[in-house]
Amino acid sequence: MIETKNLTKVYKRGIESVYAVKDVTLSIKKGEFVSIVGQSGSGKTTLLQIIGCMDMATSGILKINDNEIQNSSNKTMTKLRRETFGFVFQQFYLMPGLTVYENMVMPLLFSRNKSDKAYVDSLIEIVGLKGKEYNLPSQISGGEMQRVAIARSLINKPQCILADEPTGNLDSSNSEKIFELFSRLNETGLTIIMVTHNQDLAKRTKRIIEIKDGAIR
Amino acid sequence: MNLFSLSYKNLLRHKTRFFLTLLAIMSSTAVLFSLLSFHRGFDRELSKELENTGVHFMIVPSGCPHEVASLILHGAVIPKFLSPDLLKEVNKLDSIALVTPILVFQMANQQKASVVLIYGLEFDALKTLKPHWKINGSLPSNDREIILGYEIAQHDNLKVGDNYPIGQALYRISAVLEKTGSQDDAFVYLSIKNAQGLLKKDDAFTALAVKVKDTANINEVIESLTKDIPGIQIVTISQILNSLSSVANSAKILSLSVAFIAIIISAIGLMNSILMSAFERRQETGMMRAVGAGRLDIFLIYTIESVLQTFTGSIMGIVISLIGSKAIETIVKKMMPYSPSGEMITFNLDIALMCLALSLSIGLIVAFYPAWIASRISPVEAIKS
Ligand SMILES: Nc1ncnc2c1ncn2[C@@H]1O[C@H](COP(=O)(O)OP(=O)(O)O)[C@@H](O)[C@H]1O
Ligand SMILES: [Mg+2]
Repeated sequence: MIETKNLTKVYKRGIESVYAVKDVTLSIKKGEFVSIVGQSGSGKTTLLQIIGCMDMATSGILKINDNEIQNSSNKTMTKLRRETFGFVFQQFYLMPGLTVYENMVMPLLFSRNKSDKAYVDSLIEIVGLKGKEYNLPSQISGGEMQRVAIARSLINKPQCILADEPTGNLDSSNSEKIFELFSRLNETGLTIIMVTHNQDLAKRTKRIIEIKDGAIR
Repeated sequence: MNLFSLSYKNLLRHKTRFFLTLLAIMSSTAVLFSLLSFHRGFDRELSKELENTGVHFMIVPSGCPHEVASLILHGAVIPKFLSPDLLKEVNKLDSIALVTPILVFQMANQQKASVVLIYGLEFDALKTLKPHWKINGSLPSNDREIILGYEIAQHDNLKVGDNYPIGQALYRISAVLEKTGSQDDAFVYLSIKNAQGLLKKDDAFTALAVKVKDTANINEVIESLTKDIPGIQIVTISQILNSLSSVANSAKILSLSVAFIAIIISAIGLMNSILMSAFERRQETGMMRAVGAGRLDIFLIYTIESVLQTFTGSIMGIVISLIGSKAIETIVKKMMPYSPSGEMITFNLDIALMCLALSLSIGLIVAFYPAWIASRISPVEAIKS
């Protein structure tokens, strides 16, 4: 469902050019569970952002479901983020004033999708947050916060989850829970691309892409 | 959940900031609403009061400016007197129903080392001159009795039956005027004969109040009077109304400018607070963009936050100014050069709607720049720290 060809992202730092992503050509099929590994600063986040239509590549081709995305309008990019992708961040980014439930359904405000009660309930069940729906983020643990964020990424029924170091702020047992959750979601056919530092977790995914200095090794 | 409740919850995250912004908007709207209502009431009560006087016009010494002439009706001291014969002359005219002299002056009160404002009049004509007056006590029945204005009675703690010294003599207070909120409150009213005696000028008066038999020919009466009698000037009630309003107008404009400045200041405060939260919430806004919010969605969230604040604040302001209307009225009356009696701040739907509309537009205008800034935040913000 995702194809890139010679994808490159250059940042200008003064007169110096930094190749955050360099000639990346890859193809990820529907239903894959891919981990992206590499040292800090190797360009993993930048690559994930370009794939997820949050950022534009400087050059190269990006195809999502066989549609070329390069030079698309803002609207098209927003639509893809809203409908095709779900994002999970290292810092969770829950809204502090909203309950667990409200944080989960927040993207519905923008997709104008009707809140499907049965689906939301099933999500709460899947991420294991039953009984905590009306807690505020400050009242739950880090592992639980990340599970709220995962439920939020699933609310618009995306085809692909993009997770940037989702376990980076969690201890090993919580990391394990998040990974298991991703594995189960992947078994239902969801494509998952996960950037991680955790070698053990990466080894358990079906495919590992290693990045060094912006390029695939 | 919808965009409104999301915006509302965002506001509640900074309760102190929210409260202070509301306070500023509330205060400035309260000032604007009270002033506009007051001015409306002022015009209404002023014309009511002047229409109620049985007097149709005043005769004053010529060269007397209109403003002063008009204030005579409510007490102003002018150093000129009319000729004693004038009263008899005017009285002779068929077309005139009533003519009554007024003598206004100030005199030193040796005992209290202060100045007393004296208003000499014929008590028989009181009902015609001051129909809106409410007095406690009875009308003076002899030359030794007087009526005290509300403020004097308050200031010296005097009641009906007490004695009040003017010059060398003591006078009995037969009545105290109820508060009018106008210059009337500051005068001592005594019979014109007594007033003339105090001034040591028999037959002197500063003005004649005139009532005609047939209002249809007021203009002819005035014309013939001005033609036949030199050295006088005639001011009609409608001219008085006009000059009182024009005196009041500059005070109105001044007070409204203060209200508008208050509104501008609170608008700037609001803009600052929205701009601040737009910067503080960069990451969160980026996250929203990442999970599918369009630029318009972000723009709307910030705009709704702004409008929610101006709307709530101005409704609170209107309610507060209605609750505190009595106190506000007293304060504003003090700032006006002249105020009619009567209740001025009342609820006017059109003024309330105008204040709300103004606050809504300010909410929209003020939000535009911060909301635009926020809507340009890229989704990449959410991941890069
Ligand atoms: N907005 C930016 N401006 C300039 N350089 C950037 C920017 N974002 C990332 N970079 C640089 O691009 C490289 C890759 O960054 P990133 O994708 O965040 O790496 P990773 O996620 O693997 O740690 C780094 O050298 C980083 O400094
Ligand atoms: Mg990174």
